[in-house]
Amino acid sequence: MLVIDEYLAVRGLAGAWPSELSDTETLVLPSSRHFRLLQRLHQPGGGQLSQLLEQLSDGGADTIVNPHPEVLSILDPRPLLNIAAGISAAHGIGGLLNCETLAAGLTHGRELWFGTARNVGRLLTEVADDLDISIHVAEPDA
Amino acid sequence: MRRPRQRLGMPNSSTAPRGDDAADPGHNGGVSTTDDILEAKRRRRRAGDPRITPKDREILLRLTTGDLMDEFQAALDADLEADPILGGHDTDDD
Repeated sequence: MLVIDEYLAVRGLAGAWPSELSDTETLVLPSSRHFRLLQRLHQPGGGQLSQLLEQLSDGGADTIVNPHPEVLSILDPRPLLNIAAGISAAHGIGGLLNCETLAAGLTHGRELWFGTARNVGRLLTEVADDLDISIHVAEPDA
Repeated sequence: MRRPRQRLGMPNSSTAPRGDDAADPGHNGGVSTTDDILEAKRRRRRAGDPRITPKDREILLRLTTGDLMDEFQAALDADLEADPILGGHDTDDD
């Protein structure tokens, strides 16, 4: 399993598999990151983002709501919550997004994959280093 | 708010008829090898979700690899600022 972020999840669904990612592994997205993707469907944001997301077909939007598990799986948060709470307490970081992502990385191969460095965050980087979780970034091809 | 959508799906791999995959050499005694099955699975995975139309693909790639990455990231960051449970009280997802 490869724990990924929102960018790589969407790229995977769209069939734009980053060359850095092994295609023998299942892509998994923490539930709090899935929540952020779902918020884009319900509250797309301003400007062009909103207009474009409204143009997704029903089937296209449904791939984000209910991704096919052969392409993308959503991690069950329940087994991760206790680990996430422990990370929060031990490292003094709050926020379900960071703590659940770190718990997922700790549980699934000690690797986290992001589609852009801008989506990583300083605190997550520091705690991942403490926990011996490696962070990889697969930026879009130039 | 979008109304809930009924799940549309690819055939469940456990119920899909055998032999419809290119990896299967045929119905007359052909047996897919494990490698063939894994290769077919990799191809399906790399192809993405078949419910995505070419227009959907174009939109989704503009958000995650193209000219709208800044707007997409701003919307993701706004979620953390608006929701202290998700982002923490001391958000720094910079």
